[in-house]
Amino acid sequence: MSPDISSTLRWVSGIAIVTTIFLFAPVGDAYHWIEVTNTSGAIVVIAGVLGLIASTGRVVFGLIGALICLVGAGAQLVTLSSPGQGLIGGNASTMALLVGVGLGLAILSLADRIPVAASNNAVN
Amino acid sequence: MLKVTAEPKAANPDTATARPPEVLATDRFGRASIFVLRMLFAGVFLQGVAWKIPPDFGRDTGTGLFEWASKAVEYPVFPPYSLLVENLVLPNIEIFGWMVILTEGALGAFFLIGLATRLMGLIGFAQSLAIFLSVGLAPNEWPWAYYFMMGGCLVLAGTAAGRVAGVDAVLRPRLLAVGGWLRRLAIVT
Repeated sequence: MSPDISSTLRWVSGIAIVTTIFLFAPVGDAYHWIEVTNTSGAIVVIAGVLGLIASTGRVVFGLIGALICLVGAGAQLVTLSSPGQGLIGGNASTMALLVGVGLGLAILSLADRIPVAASNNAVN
Repeated sequence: MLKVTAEPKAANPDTATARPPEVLATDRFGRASIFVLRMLFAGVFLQGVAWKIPPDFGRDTGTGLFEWASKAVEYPVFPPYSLLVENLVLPNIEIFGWMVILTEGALGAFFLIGLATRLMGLIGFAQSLAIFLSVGLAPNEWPWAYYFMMGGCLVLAGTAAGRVAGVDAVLRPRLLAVGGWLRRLAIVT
């Protein structure tokens, strides 16, 4: 796995884990604006840990993390579309969180299959 | 990832070939600031979709998104926009509500991981403008909050904030390497 992918995977996984912990932290209601359910929170944290494992080169873990996030987001969509028929609870915020982490892990896990450009960026 | 690949050399005023100093700082502080701003905007938009509840988005109870969209009519900022909201958006709030959820959800998700940040910054600017036009003059609102949102989104787009600890940093050089329409996608990163 390329160093840039590995590094970014660590960042995205870290962001996923820290965001979820932050939302669950017992520091007052002001920080609980997303109303992450236990299930959604567990999915994001597990996906984050899988992403960290994937950053060591085991890409399949990143793909598994992406998959559970995107499946979780799908369950959230069902919850939103059919009130009272919730599968894992939560709201559009948790759906977006799951989509973001899932997409990030999926793209980064598959990025090594695309060749790197000779040109460079000022900041990356 | 908070690392510069090629630190520019200091400009030498004595030589004709000296490079001009960079306008934007790319040192650790500069990159960290952009990263923090991106995380803040991810939070803003992720929070923004939490209270938008389908399927009627508050039409029956006069609450939620329906109530807030109604403020565009009650306290008009730009009359043509108010007319649009009154005649198109409010009667079809079930459709526009989902559009808002998808837009703001995508903004939150993509800012969080730093994906397509240039495009998302521009979309965020447009969405912030729409929010300002809806509630900018409503009681207990602070219009400058929406100016800051617009400005912040522009900064995220202008600095390509996703290239700092974000997916764009990985995606952009690879998109530039491949030919065809995929290469053109690099413009959004």
